[in-house]
Amino acid sequence: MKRQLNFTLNGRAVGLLVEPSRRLLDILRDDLDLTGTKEGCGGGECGACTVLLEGESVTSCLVLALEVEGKSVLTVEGLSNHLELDRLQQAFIAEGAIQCGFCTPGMLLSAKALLSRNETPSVQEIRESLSGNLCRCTGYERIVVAVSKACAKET
Amino acid sequence: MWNEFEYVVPRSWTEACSFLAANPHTAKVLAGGTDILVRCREGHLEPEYLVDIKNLPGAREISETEGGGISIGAATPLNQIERFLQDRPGFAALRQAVHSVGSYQVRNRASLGGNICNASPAADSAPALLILGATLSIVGLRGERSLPLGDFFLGPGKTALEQGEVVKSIELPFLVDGAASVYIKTARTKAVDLALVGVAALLRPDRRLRIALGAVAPRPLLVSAVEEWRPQAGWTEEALEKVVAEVVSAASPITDLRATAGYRSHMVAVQTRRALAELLGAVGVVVALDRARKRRHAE
Repeated sequence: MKRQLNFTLNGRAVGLLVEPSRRLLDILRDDLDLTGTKEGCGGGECGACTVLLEGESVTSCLVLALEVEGKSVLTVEGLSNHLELDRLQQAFIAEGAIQCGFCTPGMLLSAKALLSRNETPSVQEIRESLSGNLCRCTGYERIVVAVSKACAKET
Repeated sequence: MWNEFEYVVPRSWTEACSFLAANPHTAKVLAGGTDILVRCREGHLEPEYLVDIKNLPGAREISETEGGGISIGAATPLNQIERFLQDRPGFAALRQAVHSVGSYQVRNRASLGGNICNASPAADSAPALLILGATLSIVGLRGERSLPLGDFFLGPGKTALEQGEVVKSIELPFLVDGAASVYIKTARTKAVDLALVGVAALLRPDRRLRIALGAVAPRPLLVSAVEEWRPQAGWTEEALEKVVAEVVSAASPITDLRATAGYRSHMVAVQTRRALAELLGAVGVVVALDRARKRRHAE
């Protein structure tokens, strides 16, 4: 039976009816039309579905929609400030850190979570923090450089 | 992608237990969900109810106890545990073990209670908790009981939990100052992989030693032959190799799609030596092991 779910999505309050067995990933993509969040493996291994829940990165394929009741969720669509891209997005573009783009939303959000807990991560810390996000184009080098440059910009 | 189920949010531990007892075959406990939802997705589990315990009182709290130990709510996410243990060097084995599970995102959800209750022989936290002397606080319809972790695992996927019982917290006793511990995981990749072999070791300042193994027996294993063991003639090369031999003989690994039994046995020896080297180094004993290692390299 469908149940009412209320939470904050990209800074705005949303309410909808959901089946209890649906995942956060499902309602983001299918009900709320936010298809920036991707489904790769569906088992918490690839990180393509990474979103921020209460500011911390989680794989939305392993979160039930009803588990986010009353909480705040940030997807890649909420990363930019209106027309101004987040510094991470700008750095990804500047460094060519995007190939097919499928892993990009998850990479951006894992990097966002990293920068929120550590403003000046080392390259090793960046690599480790992104180790739960797979890039099948294997374009890791530029992604790591982009995250490093985004930090440098801030400081 | 999976069967339809109901999502149940109990208001108290008692209510959770009552619901589980009333629906013994159809209700499953949900904490972080990183394991159970994968198993649902793969069709290994088809629950009718998922009972979410993580918002119950104390479920996600970690704190120092009056006696100087640590109490960890069963649904506490692994990242939270890692942060808490950051400046508690004696508990390094548990910090390293929880850090080695899945990815950062997964560790934001995955719980210590879940890692234990799934009763995987390869559960990373299990060997670390065994050497640290963990007990479980278990709540049921008749109240609470305490159970040493070593008595909890009955076999792959099988635990001593009875109908309507839930693990409420994991309790670690006081650890004497100067104790050192380590968890060393062998896996195919450096991150996001299951353990092929897990070795946890604890050395106290009085030189007492504890070693536990993961992924090389039907359940996580405290090696009783070396427990509270102290070498008569100090940490000589012979003494070290005796420990290694005891640890290897305690293991009963199998061959599966990830590794052969022979490789696992070999790695038990290798990682036990490494663990001992690190711990003995931490208390200032290095000479004997360095010599042993050099000789092996020369061979």
